[in-house]
Amino acid sequence: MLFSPAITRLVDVFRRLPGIGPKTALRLVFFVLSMEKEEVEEMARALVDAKRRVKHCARCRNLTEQDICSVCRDERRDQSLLCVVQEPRDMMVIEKTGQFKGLYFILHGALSPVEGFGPEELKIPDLLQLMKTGGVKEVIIATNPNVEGDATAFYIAGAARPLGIMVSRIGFGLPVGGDLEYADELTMTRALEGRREI
Amino acid sequence: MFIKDLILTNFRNYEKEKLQFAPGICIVQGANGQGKSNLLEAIYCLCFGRSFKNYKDSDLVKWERPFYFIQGTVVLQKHPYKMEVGFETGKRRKVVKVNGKVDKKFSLEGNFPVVFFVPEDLEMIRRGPEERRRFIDREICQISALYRDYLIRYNRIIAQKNKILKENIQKKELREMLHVWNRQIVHFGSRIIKIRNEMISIWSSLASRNYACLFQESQLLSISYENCLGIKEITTDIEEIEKTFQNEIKKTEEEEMRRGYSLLGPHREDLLFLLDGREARRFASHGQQRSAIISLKAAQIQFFNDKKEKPLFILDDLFSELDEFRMEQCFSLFKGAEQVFITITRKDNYLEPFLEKFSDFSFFHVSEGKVMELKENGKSRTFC
Repeated sequence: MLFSPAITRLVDVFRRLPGIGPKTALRLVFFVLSMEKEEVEEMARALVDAKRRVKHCARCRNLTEQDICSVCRDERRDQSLLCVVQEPRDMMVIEKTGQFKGLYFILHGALSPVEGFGPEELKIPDLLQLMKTGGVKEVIIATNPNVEGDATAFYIAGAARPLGIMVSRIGFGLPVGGDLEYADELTMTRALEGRREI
Repeated sequence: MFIKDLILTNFRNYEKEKLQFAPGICIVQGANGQGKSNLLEAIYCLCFGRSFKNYKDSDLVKWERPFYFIQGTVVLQKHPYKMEVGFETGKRRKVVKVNGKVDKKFSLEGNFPVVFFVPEDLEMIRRGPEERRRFIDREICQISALYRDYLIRYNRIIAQKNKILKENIQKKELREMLHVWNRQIVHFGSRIIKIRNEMISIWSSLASRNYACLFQESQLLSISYENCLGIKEITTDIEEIEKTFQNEIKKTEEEEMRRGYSLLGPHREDLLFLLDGREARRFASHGQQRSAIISLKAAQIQFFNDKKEKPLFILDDLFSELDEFRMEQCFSLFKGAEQVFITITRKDNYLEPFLEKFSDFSFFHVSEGKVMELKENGKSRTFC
């Protein structure tokens, strides 16, 4: 064997991370081994600590160290407006715009029977409960514009409508600042289908 | 469109071959099992980033080699495209590059006018419907990237829906979930139906003319699109198709829940070949079926010519069972192409009378994974 068992083990651990192949993993291992002992210990502690402390917000399922996350606790936010997203990073993208003043609900996935994601796994019953009791008047669904994201949007919309809640889906189409000639056929078709009167 | 050069590494029975081609007719001659079809397959691969026969990439790698690699230059409307297609068996990694840039979507599909014929195509009439659907999809994907996109999404939706139908869940909840997927089946399915209908009706009218004029057959050939909605005349109005589809899918819902898989949609359609209104599959002779298929191939050629494009033909073993009259008719079609690759097994000069009408043609001899261009003065030259 070329490397010691400890090194092989660490390579295997790094390889579990997304986007890390065997070569990158080995590079990371060599780097870690060249670091100061204290630094490595700090890194290991940070990993374990983050995993131990961070959990899902009881209300919106955002990642937080408290029971209720800081977004949900912010009283200046509009309680009647709810945005449903797939992943925490999608929420971050919307937050960055500063244009959305409502609250969020994070599904941590999309409906996909093939992968075993049903309404239960996405905690859609919790979402419906929130709609019923949380004073929500309008829901914006911002799931991804693919087959699973659309299915999720239709499912939530179908469940929300009997509650008298207004449901909308974020718009899809051309990227702002881009030229029309660079749009692929499907994006362009969707943009045409979703055109608006001006 | 034509292929200017081609380098094969570990592809099928080729270890390393460097080849150059000119526009015009390229005759590839060789005994059985020497690599003629593999050469044509490589050319197809170069244009579309995958094989035409549903082969896996790992099947294309030369025996016990770690990868295959195809490079070459495709010239389309005087503009050269440097194409590279590679696959590593160990990593299961496939890379397609166009002019040195990685092309993740293989988006060249939809850009290159290529018509190809493989002997298996002759079996299409007699085989099962999935064979004919594969033909429809393959051919339309080649000219419409949008169709390809619809199809990928549609197939994904069908897989999701079938999974739901097999799951053991309450009927009420099952119905709710079905609606979610059916809604998308109707959306993408209707668009697929619309495009299929448009393309098939173009092919049908051209093929029908070819069958009568080119092959002097007496019956009327028509190619009928057996759509899943059972409509005779499909409208061009997408909303109307969606409406019909929506109604039909609602009707099949109970049956689908009982049987546990999806029963309605473009994934259950067929293409019907009719001679004087009678099913060619059951009533036509072998020869008539062959003429029908070649009429359809010719229709594809004319389709490109109508769009003022000169396509590339890849014809594997087209002549082996054709009589002289039909061969002559086929050669008349080649005028519409910029480059034609034809494989033959026989060595004698039986093609010469046909070739006289063409100024640009070249001969290649294939033997055990080596290709030699045969020059007119009888001297041979090896590229490698």
